[in-house]
Amino acid sequence: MDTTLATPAPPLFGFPGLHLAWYGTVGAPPMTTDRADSKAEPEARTATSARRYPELDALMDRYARGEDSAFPELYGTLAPRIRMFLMRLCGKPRLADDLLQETFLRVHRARGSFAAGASVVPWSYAIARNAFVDHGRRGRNERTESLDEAAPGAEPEAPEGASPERQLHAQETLKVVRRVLAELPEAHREAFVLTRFEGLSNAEAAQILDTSEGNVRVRAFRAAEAFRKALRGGTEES
Amino acid sequence: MSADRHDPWGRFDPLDIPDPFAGDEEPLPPLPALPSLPPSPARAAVRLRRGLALAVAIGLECAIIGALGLRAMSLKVVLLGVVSPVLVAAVALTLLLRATTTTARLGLVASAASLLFFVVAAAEAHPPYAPVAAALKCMVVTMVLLAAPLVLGALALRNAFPSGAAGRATTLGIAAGLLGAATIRLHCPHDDSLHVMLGHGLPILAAGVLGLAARKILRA
Repeated sequence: MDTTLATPAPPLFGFPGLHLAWYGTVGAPPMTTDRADSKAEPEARTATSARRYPELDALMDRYARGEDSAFPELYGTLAPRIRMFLMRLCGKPRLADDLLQETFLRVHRARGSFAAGASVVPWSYAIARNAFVDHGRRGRNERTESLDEAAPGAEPEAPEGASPERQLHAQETLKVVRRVLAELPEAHREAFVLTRFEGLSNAEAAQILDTSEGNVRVRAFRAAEAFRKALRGGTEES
Repeated sequence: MSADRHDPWGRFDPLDIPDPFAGDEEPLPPLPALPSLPPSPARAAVRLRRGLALAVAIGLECAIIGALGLRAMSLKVVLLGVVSPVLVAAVALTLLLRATTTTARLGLVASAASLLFFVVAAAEAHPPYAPVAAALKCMVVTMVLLAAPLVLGALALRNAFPSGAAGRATTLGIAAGLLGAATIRLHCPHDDSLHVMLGHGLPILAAGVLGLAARKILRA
């Protein structure tokens, strides 16, 4: 069964100056470093209510009906994406792994409540977010100071064959992005990560964050504004 | 971010913000072994649990009101005092079970349901007015009546909602309160608005607060 979680092709975004309009559309594109990707396959935009992972939903449905054999496949398919989401929220690979285990324990516990015909992606993301929030409440969240040391082996990658100057620029940019991401208010960070990096629609993000689509748009826009200020500042200084 | 990725007018595109964790795909932690996981009910068992909880709650209401005794009722009392709160409670329960319902919407529904109850109670005003002691007694009995649906509902909806648990729990409390308030009207002989608001209405609000306090039970 093909249950790949590759996000749909990125939506249109042809107007660099049209800030809010981007957040007013459906799911943000998954992060790409190639700007040309963002203009590809505009017809692949989906409606906010469209179910985008029917195979995965069917898998979760089987598990909710009591088929334990669906669990390994569900874990193998869903876990990498949930793990990345948790990484983006907490910034620590080890903590993300712990929270991933906690998330799937909760998924297991709540499987009977997964409604037939529901979408598993926002459902499981919301559970992962709860695990993260609960961890923070327990006072063990040290995200802010951890971001620079997060993913120690993961130095920013510059495009292959790029000039040293361009590589350095890319590394500096990623440092700024990590710092800004760490400093963002929790609500803004969540909205931005979900819509920008996770490629979810505003409707899906609203469902996860228990708020309105308009609120998601505003939060993500404010986060983007913070990035804009930081990156512009960095660019202008350099 | 290279200069050629900016437009010449210096505007900013959120697509230019790179993912700081892209490429950090490490091997997944080992799959939790199913036998080591606590048992969890499948969907059919959860549905059965919910159905049973509803049936037991209604049964308990009937048993308590049967023990207290039924009053003589006009059609107006039946429609305004009994049927309308039960219908509102049913709508609230239906809404809280929907995955896409947000806390804000549920809060609106819960507030509207409570307000409706008080407006209807106010419209019912007709003397003679009952003594305050009667209102206190009704308050206690209504709290007892709403306790069963609230507790059973919370247990039946345990771990059911990944998001919006606070709103859903409050709405569950309000719905249980409305059910209790409807049931007490089958027994309570006092129809004046002050009595209904105090003795039957305040417990609805108290149930909402109790529901909110139990939100962790509902959260996945």
